[in-house]
Amino acid sequence: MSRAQTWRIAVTLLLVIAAIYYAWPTARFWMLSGADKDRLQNENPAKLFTMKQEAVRLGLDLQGGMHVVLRIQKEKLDATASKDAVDRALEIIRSRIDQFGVTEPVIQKSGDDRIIVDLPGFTDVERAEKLIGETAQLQFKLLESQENATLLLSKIDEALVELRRKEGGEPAATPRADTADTGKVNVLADLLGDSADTSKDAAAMTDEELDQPFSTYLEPIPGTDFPEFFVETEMVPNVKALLEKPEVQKVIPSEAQFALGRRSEIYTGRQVTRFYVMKSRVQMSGEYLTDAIPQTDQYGKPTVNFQLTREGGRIFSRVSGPNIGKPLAIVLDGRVESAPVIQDRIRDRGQITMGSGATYAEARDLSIVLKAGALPTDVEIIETAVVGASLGRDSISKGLTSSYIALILVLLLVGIYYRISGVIADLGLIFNLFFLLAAMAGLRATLTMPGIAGIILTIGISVDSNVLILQRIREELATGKTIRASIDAGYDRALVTIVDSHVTTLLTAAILFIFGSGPIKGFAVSLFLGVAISLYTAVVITRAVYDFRKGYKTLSI
Amino acid sequence: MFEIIGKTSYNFIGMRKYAFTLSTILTILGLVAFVAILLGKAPMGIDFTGGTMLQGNFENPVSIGDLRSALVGNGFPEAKIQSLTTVGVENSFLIRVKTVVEGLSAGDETTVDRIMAVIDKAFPANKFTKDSEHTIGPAVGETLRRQATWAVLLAMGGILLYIWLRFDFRFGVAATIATFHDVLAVLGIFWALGIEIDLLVITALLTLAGYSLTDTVVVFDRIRENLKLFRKKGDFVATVNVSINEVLSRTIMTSLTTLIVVVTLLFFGGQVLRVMSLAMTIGILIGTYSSWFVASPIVVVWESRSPKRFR
Repeated sequence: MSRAQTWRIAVTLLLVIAAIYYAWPTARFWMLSGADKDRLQNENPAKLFTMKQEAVRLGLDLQGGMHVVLRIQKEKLDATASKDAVDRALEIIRSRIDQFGVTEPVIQKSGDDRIIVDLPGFTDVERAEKLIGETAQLQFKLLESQENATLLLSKIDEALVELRRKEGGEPAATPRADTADTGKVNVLADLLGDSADTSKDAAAMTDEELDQPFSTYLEPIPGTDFPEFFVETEMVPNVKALLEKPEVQKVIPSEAQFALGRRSEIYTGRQVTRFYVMKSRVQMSGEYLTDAIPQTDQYGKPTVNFQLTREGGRIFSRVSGPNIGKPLAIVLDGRVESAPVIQDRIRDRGQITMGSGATYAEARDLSIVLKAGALPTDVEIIETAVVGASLGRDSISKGLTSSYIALILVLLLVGIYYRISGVIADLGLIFNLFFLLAAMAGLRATLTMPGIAGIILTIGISVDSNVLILQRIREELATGKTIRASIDAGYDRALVTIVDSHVTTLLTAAILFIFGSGPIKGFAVSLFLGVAISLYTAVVITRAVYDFRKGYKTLSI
Repeated sequence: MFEIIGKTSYNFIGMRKYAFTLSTILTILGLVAFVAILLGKAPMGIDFTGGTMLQGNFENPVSIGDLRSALVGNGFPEAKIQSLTTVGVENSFLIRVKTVVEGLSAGDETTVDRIMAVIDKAFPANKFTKDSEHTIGPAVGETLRRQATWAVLLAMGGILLYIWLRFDFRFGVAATIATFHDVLAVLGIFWALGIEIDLLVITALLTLAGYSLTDTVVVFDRIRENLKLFRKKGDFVATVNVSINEVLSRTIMTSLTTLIVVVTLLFFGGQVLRVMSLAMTIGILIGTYSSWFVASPIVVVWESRSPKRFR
């Protein structure tokens, strides 16, 4: 055996051992039958988990799961804050997701202002979007007094009446008894423009509504001495629209603020949302929270029990002490979760009563979000992709089927056409695939559906190298050279062409890897590795087989 | 040993008139498609335009017309619907709309939510299960467009550089034309068939470009080798023909093996990869064709117009 031959065999053996080492965890995991998996799940779930971890990772399109891309709205921050806004947001989101219990989430920065979140196996889009995308800014505010609120509301009404007078040209004091009703409908339309629901029948409008274009939407909640109202959920856009008018904004003092409730509820058979008039000063904020735990109170309603830092406790004590008997609004991202009455001085522990209609699940998610902290600024969801698990499984099975069929067809074609030499080439192909899978496992590459396509493509392309060599050998034989000489000449002459012809494929694969998104990266990786490895298996391994014999009497080719 | 093709002597170069006609048609088609894409008139996947795509199936049969009118009449006038019903998969549809609610915050109603609501209302007794969804905001669509453009430019640039280093001038130009011809031809065919161009199609096109060149390289290598051996100036055409014939077996074998695998993917690979495998299948056929009937004839015609002694 020549030295070259010894090297070939030695290196190949080493590679085989390395490949087995890397590919073993994957093989072991995939060889588990469904029944085995269930058994392990019951007896030793941790072991099943690690086995899965060590096997080749499956992309979202094969496992099922969610892919979300967020954009941090840095424009809302000043220069210093926006520099590390993305990093801070990343940490907060990571901490929120950690508490979800998703296995192997992928959370990474992308570009200047984006965060990519991949949640394998998780398909509850709504819940994920809320948990990830909510800014979660928690503030505690006191409500305005009833007198101030009433005063403010009537000022708003007056401003709107004044506005309508200027715009519509129709004085409010027109005798209504015999006037056509169209005038009344136009009032609202004038004020609200097309964004509003002006379907209320003109005849049903009362004088009160004309005099109080804003307050007419607000229905005081019985049993409270504070400005808390119900607004029909359908009418909320109208309310918002009216409040946004500059004439109204002018009338609202900076110490006062309006807010809507977080969710809608049913009251006397109608869908309503709560509406509050608050003092705008932030009495305390969520940054002082050290812990938040979902619970249920003695009435069975869900709550979030929180703990504060010492500083927070001091502030809270100062706020709650003088305000016993008054409601404290718990505002989350600008909407009021609830406004329970302060029973007595609160120090370092408190309880957020969830609003009417809240579920325990919501309390749990809220506590997750509060514990992790508020995001530095609002985020915008710019891309979502969800693949159901059944579609993922379907893709895997189709991928596997195609791979088997393609492989068998190629093995047959080459084996038959080149006979024993073809079988040797087939051997090279099998090594190629084996090393490819091991390499992907070893590099912790993620296998995606296009990745499977890449592997299948590799089958076709890598055989080319062997075809080149074998065709060359045939030609050399035809010129009358000895078998040994033909084999050597074939390998030598074909080598340059082989490397040459695969360079461009490697180049495009590399570029696709750099610029491609998830699934396409998978394709690029498997194609690149497959073709690169084929350069070794086609040339070295098959040659090693031929070199076992010095001279040949006949060659089956 | 046996060869599929024994010693052949087809006159490839002789057929060039027909080939040039066909190739010109394909190239023009491709250029039209390319311009259409630039103008935004070609069907592009949501990867590039932004939008929402969702896929799912009903419990009971639904006519595609009913589904379309339900969506069109309820706020999605440009909804595109494709039936995915095949063997074993019933009542399955792919819905694509361009409407995307800009700037979504968590908790806002998404386009997918709205589509599901419309479907629920229109087909109340017929449960629709969503298999997958994908929503891309316009900002992301733009990013993907940019990245795809860069990828294409760099890949083409890299290929050109490789050709420049590897071949002398004439061969290089011929190889370049052949490669561009292949990519444009597939693009043109796709456009003519009304197939949406998305990221996977671009991936297939780039892979194709790389692959098509390998075919051309093998033929040109042989031509070069033979030209060194047969220094007779007058018989350039014959040399080229002989060269192509010599490598015919090998070219057919390689194309065959690659074709087998992509056709397998086309039939068994499922809906996700269908468009990509179609692109590769057509591309491999055209790529092989172009090595024989585009790249080589170009060199021949050039040589006949301005003969020069070959090194």
